[in-house]
Amino acid sequence: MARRSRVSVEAEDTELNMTPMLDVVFILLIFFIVTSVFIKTPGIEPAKPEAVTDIKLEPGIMVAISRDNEIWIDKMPYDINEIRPVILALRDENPKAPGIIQGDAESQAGIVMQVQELMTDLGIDTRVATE
Amino acid sequence: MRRRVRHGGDEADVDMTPMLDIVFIMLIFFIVTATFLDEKGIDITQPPPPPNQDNNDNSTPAISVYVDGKNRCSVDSRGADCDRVVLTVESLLADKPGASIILKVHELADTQYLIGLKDKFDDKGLNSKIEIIKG
Repeated sequence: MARRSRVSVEAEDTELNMTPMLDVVFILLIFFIVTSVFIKTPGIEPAKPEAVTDIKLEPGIMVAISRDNEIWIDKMPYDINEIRPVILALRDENPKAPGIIQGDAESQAGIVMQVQELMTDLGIDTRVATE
Repeated sequence: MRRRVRHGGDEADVDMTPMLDIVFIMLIFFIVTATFLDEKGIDITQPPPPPNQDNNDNSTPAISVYVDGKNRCSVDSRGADCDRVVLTVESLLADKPGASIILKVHELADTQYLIGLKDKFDDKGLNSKIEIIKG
């Protein structure tokens, strides 16, 4: 009986039931839409200092400072005097988003502190990234 | 199946192929652009200076921790190993209870000392004030 029915199905048009696959694809799609964050990554990955009292956050504005004290925003290096308009533009794009400074462990403390003060002045809740 | 086709419209059979194409393209787009950020950070925002700063400085004793431009640490002008700064400060605090801690960091010192010391003081529940020394 089973054999006969299988044969008869194969003889007809082969048409896959795509409903389960569609379900899975939709769930994946919605998952990726919900979790996607469109933020401008600095483009470098500094070796961040270690800390124990750090808290997790989802940044909206990312600034990285390399070992050579270059300030990277959106894959472009800047000088300390040039970053104010760049950060202002980022803030206007994404107001209320917290900011994060990824300072290399061996970058100069003065630069990190200046960027932090600048971002705080612009009303961005800023933290310094740690490992 | 054959029968349904022959009757034509007996049961609505929507052609889902174009929609599937679009859904797949969207799916691939979102997979490719997805960035999973897992960031952790500490807050080094400085509170605004109190209006009567001069009076405060005189009334409360302070312990100053200094990291110079060559990453050498000192506590109250005495040289100390950077890893043992917090211990030294704690023993000084026993003598001067309620003293405020001023973390003076030279602008050329490494960020890791600024962050590391601030983090260690925060971990011990000690309030510290960051000052950047220029020069």
